[in-house]
Amino acid sequence: MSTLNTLINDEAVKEIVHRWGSPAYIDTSSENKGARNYYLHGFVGRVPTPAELLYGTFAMKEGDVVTADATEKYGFSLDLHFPHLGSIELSCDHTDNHSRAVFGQSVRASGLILPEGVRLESAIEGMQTLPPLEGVTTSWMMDFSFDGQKEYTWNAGNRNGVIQAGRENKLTSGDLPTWFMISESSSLPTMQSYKVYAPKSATNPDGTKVTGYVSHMFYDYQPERRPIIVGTIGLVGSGADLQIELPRRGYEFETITPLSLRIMMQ
Amino acid sequence: MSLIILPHILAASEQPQYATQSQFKDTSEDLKRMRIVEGKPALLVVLDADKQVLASSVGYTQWSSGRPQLPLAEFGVSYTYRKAADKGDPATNFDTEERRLPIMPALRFNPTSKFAIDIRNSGTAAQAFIIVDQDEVRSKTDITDWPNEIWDGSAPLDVAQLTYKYFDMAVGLHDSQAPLQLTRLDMSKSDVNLPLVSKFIDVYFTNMFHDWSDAKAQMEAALNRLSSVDTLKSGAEIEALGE
Repeated sequence: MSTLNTLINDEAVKEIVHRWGSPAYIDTSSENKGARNYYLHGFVGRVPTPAELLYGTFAMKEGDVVTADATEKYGFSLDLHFPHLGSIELSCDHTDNHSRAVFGQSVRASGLILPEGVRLESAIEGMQTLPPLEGVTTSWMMDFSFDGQKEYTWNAGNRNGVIQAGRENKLTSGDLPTWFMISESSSLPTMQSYKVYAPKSATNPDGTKVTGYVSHMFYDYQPERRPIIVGTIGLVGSGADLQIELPRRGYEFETITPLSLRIMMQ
Repeated sequence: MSLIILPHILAASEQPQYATQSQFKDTSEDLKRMRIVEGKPALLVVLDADKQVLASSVGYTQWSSGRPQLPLAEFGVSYTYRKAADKGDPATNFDTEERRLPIMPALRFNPTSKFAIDIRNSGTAAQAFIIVDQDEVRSKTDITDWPNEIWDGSAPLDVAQLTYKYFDMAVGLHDSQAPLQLTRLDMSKSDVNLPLVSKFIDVYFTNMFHDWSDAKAQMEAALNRLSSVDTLKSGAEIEALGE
């Protein structure tokens, strides 16, 4: 980065990203009503590469999500919609320490709140600005503490399709979700997808065998659905970005039991 | 893979339609302190090698998240793939997808005057700065609302002495990859104004949050994993290769 630049220096970039996702308001009328919600989407299958995420272009090959012999059966949806389990809602303005059994509103977030001395009015009636946390010297973008006993049910998505493929032993990534993305929408980005067909051969005489899918996110359309944070999911001790408890047998793709998620920028 | 933060976060954190900013009332006095770039009054100044102000214009800065105008040689990915329809000649069963680019917001300077900037002195452009009023006190449309010494060319400008935040940009001609593209670098005061090549000036921070320098090669590798997709070969060549 240029030295002749005081606008977008490291400190400014940190401020911008920490503001995204940081809690700013609390609703005094109801403890469980969130002002600012983000959505954590879970997926099975191969984790996309950083380059695929940057380009918004996903190259899904047979075997990435389901075994090659199941490509034909599930091949019509080898884009991100097939491995998508659904989303859980992350609410960023809670003051209580423990999660609540209210769907989608059961996590606590803290972190950078507002610059000292800033006075802001909320666009929503009844919302109050949170005061800066006492003694805080570092900040983070999102810091969620989950009640380790609480299972969250994936909302929408294709978890029934995934469960079905799992029962048939056709999933290539095992019994757990593999990665997540956080966006500002409960919907996946709308994508333009192309089936890719194998060349004609003795085993593919009419050339109709699907071997993969390439999907593109649009440049201009529905930017609120774009992924902003992406990471891996794994069991405690796996080193994954989002660590989860081992799910009850038979419920691997119905629910998720996350332990903690802290997102910082180094 | 460690956690990936995508560059789109810059726009999502600062633009009013996203969750971070949409909770605040527009009339909140301190709202401006929640943003670094979005909606800030700004000056564009073009200097010669001796820091003489050659040209200047007023406008504002914002994040722009439309189709990125990134250099194709460095970032553009195109590939050929086989689609099912059999048209007889095997080679025509392929389509080519052109020039996919990374989804990356630009820091955009919107000049009030869309097509030209006013010339203040004669000379050869060597560098340019965008000077930003973070307190949102100065005008976005009237350059005379800003302190004269920054823009009128009566004395050399040392940006290090400014109380405003700024950043520098390379200056170049239309065929260059410089963010600020001008129709010519030599300017004469008698010309009154200097046509801009584009009505916006977009600056991309192409290596933010992650080392993206080999993103193009990685994207091509991801595509080439698929049989009958190739970023280099033609349809006929892919067909000849078989499965």
